[in-house]
Amino acid sequence: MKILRYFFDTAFRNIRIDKWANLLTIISISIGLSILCAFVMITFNMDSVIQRWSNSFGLVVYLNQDISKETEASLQKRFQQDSDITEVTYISKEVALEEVKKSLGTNAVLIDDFNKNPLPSTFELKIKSSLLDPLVIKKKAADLKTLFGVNDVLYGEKWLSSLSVIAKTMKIVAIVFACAIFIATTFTTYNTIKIFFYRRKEEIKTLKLLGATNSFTRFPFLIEGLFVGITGGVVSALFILGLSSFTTLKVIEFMPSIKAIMAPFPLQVYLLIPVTGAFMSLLGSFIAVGKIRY
Amino acid sequence: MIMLADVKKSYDNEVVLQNFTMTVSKGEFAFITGPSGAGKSTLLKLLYCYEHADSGHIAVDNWIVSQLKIRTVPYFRRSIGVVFQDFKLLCNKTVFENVALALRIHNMETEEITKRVIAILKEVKMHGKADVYPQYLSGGEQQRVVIARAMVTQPMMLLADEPTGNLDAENTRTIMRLFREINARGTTVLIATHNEDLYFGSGSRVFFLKDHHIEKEIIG
Repeated sequence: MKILRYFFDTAFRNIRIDKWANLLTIISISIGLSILCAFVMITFNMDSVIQRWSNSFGLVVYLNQDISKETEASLQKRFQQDSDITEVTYISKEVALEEVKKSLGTNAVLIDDFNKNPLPSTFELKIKSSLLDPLVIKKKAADLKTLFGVNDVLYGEKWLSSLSVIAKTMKIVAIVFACAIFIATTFTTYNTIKIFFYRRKEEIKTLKLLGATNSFTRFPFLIEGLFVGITGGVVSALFILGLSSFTTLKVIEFMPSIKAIMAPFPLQVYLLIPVTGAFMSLLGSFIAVGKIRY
Repeated sequence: MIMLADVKKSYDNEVVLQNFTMTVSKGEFAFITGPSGAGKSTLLKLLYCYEHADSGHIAVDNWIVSQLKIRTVPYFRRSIGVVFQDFKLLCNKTVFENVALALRIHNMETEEITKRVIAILKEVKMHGKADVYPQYLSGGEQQRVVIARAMVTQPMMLLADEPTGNLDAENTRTIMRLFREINARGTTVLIATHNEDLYFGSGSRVFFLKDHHIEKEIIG
């Protein structure tokens, strides 16, 4: 404990001595983390929008015209037992006709010219959101089409492909961006600590000559890096929290309906920002003090 | 006890010490002297493991210095006290903190550190300047702080490299008196100097270095 106290005393004394360099590093880290958080927040909200879109996705199963009631019932049972399907809605040909008439309005008389109802009965199937992959859905549709009594299976194939491409691109960009910010922040701390280390080279040399071990000379630098990372993270978390609250208020003022699709960050994410800052900074410091020879 | 046997040390093919053999007994007070570049400082650096010999054997008490592993060097250094030619005092620490640092490295309790530092500063007559930073001290005062730092850990051996190099006659006498007192407590003292006044009439052994080895050995 006594040695830890000495390490902390030394680290905080060094922070005071190099306050401007440390402040610059804190600002750099907080800017990096804020950019990362802003990007994650945008991705998070986009993801929320995509999830809402996904919920409205469904397959429409068109049945044969001459299908018996028993076959319809058997198909409905089959769909309800399918674990990939979350919701089954049956629309009889009569109901379908009524809906078409409603949508045609005054032109509904055109339908009356038909001798018999030209519309088939259908099943609307909602699929698990985790399965919303173009290939999986294509296979599912093909499987359903082979069932007895099924005439055709239709779904928004292009829409689903676009959605999938958007979601995948966003994930890749988020990962690349996160990696870039991670490297930049780690490198910033690495550089700062390395400069401090070189500046205090004589002091370290003296400590070594007095019998100090490597860990004795390096520990205060790691504490310094940790402090800089945590402070940068806290500044960034506060900034993002303020920015998010302000933006949400302003956006809702003009577009009240957007409130339904906006996804605010959970509180844990704000706590995670200083932890991320600390981790990146500590890693940078660790590499810096580990690489220097004297 | 210090023992060097058939030691060779060179820098970039320039030989500094060759076939160097020397022994200093436990509790002895001895000098090494010789012209500039003779290898006095190098010899001390070999003894506190700042430099490594190209060949030969070096032993200090129970430590085989020439075979020390890098990880063991700090622990060996803690067992000796060194008075550096350029003092090596940390200018961002007070006199008290500079001396206490040697004990912090030993992971000593704070109360014990305070007790020992105050005692040693009194001994070198620097307790009145415990809170002063080294840059505000005279050369003689700085040297006394360095001696205090070297002695506060109660080492078995004290090495001093030109300890009176920049001091006036009065400060030189004070410093030499301190070394004698330290030696009287059983600590082996080895001083590298080119100042003849230090060793003439001292009654101590003096090793003359020339042409990479000990040219002669006299009683001062």
